[in-house]
Amino acid sequence: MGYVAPLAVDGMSRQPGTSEATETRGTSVGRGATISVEGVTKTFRLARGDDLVVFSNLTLDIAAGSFVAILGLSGCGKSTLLRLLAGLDAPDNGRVALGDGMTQGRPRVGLMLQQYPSLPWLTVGQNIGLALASRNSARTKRQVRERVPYYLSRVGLWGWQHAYPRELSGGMLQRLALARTLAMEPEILLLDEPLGALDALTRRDLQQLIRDLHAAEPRTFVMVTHDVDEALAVADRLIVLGPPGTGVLYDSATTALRLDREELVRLLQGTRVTFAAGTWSGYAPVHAAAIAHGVPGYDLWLGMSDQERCAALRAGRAAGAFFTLPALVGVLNELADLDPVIIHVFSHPGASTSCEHMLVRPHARTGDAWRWALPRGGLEEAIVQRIDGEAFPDRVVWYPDRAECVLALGREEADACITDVTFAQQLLPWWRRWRLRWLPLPDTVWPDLWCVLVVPRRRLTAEPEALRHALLALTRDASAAAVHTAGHVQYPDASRSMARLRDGTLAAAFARWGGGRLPVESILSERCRG
Amino acid sequence: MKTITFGLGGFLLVLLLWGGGAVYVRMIRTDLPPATLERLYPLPHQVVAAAAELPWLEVLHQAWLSTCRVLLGFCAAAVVALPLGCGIGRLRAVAEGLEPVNDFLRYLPVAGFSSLTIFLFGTGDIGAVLVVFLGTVFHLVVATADAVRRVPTAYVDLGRTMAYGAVHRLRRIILPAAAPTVFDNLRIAVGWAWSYVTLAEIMGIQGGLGHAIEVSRRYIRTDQVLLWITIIGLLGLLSDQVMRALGRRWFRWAT
Repeated sequence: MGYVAPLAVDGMSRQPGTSEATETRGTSVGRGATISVEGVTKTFRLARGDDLVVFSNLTLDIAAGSFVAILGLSGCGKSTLLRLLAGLDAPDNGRVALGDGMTQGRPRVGLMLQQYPSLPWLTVGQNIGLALASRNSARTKRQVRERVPYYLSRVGLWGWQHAYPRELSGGMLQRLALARTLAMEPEILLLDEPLGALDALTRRDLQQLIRDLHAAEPRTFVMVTHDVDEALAVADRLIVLGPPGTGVLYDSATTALRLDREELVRLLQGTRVTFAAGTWSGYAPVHAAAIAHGVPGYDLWLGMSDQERCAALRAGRAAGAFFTLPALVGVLNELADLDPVIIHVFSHPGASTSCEHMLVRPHARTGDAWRWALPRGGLEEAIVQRIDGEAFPDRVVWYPDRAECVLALGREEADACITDVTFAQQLLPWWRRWRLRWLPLPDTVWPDLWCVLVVPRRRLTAEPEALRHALLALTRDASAAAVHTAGHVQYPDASRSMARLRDGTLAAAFARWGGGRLPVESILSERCRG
Repeated sequence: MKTITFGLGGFLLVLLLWGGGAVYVRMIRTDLPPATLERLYPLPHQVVAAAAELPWLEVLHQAWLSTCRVLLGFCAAAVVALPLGCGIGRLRAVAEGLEPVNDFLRYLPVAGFSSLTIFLFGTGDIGAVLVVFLGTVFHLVVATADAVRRVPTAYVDLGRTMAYGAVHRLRRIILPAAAPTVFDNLRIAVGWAWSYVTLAEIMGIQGGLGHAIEVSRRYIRTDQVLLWITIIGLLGLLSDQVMRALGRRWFRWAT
């Protein structure tokens, strides 16, 4: 039962010779239909005028009679995919083909939704009857009446045919929806989070029921869910969808890699973290450019365990990989011979280090495929290049080390530096003393994450070295370049430094500061004790 | 029991305000003789007395006349508005073509039209029916279109996956789903219909309860005017209750 050995259970092992079986069954139900999605692109126009690319060049084959679970967090396009399969939406590009092409016409598709599972103005029996009648207009009313109890008993709702949906419990409603979908006698069943709103016990019952239904008459089942356990419990084949535009991250049928529950959860969490970090707004242009230059774009594996990602990089299966900052420190030695380079840093306002992701590409010297995507210096340098010289102070600088940026201001090498909002917030206690002010960046891709920190000339007379120490104490999420150059640097964890910010140690220290030498000792001793 | 007590209390309060107001006005208006004042500002008991002397066969006749006009105008409006509303609600082309016009017409004052209809169609039934029709049809179109639009997409999708055609989908899914809201709007429209029929009859249509109001006013029978108004109010309430009961009976699932 369930997800044992995807390659073996999945339809790939079932030979496409099952049509005889279909004939011999003698019923109108076949063994399901194949689904093939070829190069499908789907874009939604957002309210503010941008396009959200949900799928770009998505290709997927689902064998007849298989049970596929599509996993993904909300917003990744699961439901959109189902709507495409159901024929409710048309793709912008590409083709969605159902059936093997030998049978006449489009296979019947049943769609079951979590919300509005049934028509409330009809009784349970009428709901099923409606589905039955739809399937074949030649059926007489009497035939419909005779078939209704059959489907009711299949889902355990026998005796409820005269009840109205509002008189049923949540679990019974889903049973009704299942019966209604079955009554359409579809060759493909599409289940859109069918058990999302149910309690654990009912859910388990229904999972068993769905499983049994599939076993009894193996139609093609495609179920969308965000619940790893549910997917593992019911499906033969798992597909994990990444955030919009990335497509399939993992497909148990096309890769030899087996993920257990923990790894699947981690994979999903990886998509969540990168979502939350606003990473994908930064990732999308890189990705688009990669495709434009013929580089395999989205085998940038994310969410896998760090070892797996290392292995993927080493084997050349991925053009790049995402690492969190602490993880990168851990594996940098291991990757040393690959000559990796950090090409992109994703940061998040108010984020801890765990939210910070880096895109690492191996063999930096041998290929410059990514150089056009972003300047070597990463996001900040890209921003510097885009800045309108007239609207901003003359000398805007960026250094890999953010503290170094501020120090450059102090040395009067620059009029302004680029920083992210987090760092600007961490400098808050010093704003008045240094007369910092910040300007939002004009029309950049990441306006919410980045700003220009402007320091008026004068002040910052403190000892550069002491200032540097203090800044380092503040910037736990130190810049990517620092990690790159010194892989063994121990980074204090973010929560502790945030706590120090909150409990006022720093504020107090700086309040006592008279503008001369910074009270570095007191800060550092706090750090040691912490 | 409690609600009945409170309801009666409300009625008593209205009667008290009325009586008190009438007595007060009679006291302060010294420019008219007492007999005239009594006619102009009747007390509740005078209205009851007027009710007693009213020729009830005549009342029934007038009420029947008004009811027929309401029903005819209202049904005509429903017959026109429901398909139109469905079209606007479901088909973009129809919506783009008709909605601006309808929105414009909706804000034209029906009271202004009523004098025009009398001028054009005479003082017969046609004018009254037309006023009722004009008064309700545009609002019904908007309300129906809105109700049809608000049918959850999931229901429509359900129909589409069942491979129903557009006509079937409309009949089996969209109309039943929108029906309770549409019916509710019809119920409200009946209330308007009563207002508009009275208006038309006061403006000069012959016969009907509104006309009776106008006649009584001409003879300075304020007590009778109040009586007619009460009768119209009761008829409106009755029609509303009938519609409500029907709605509850037919659309039990929506409550």
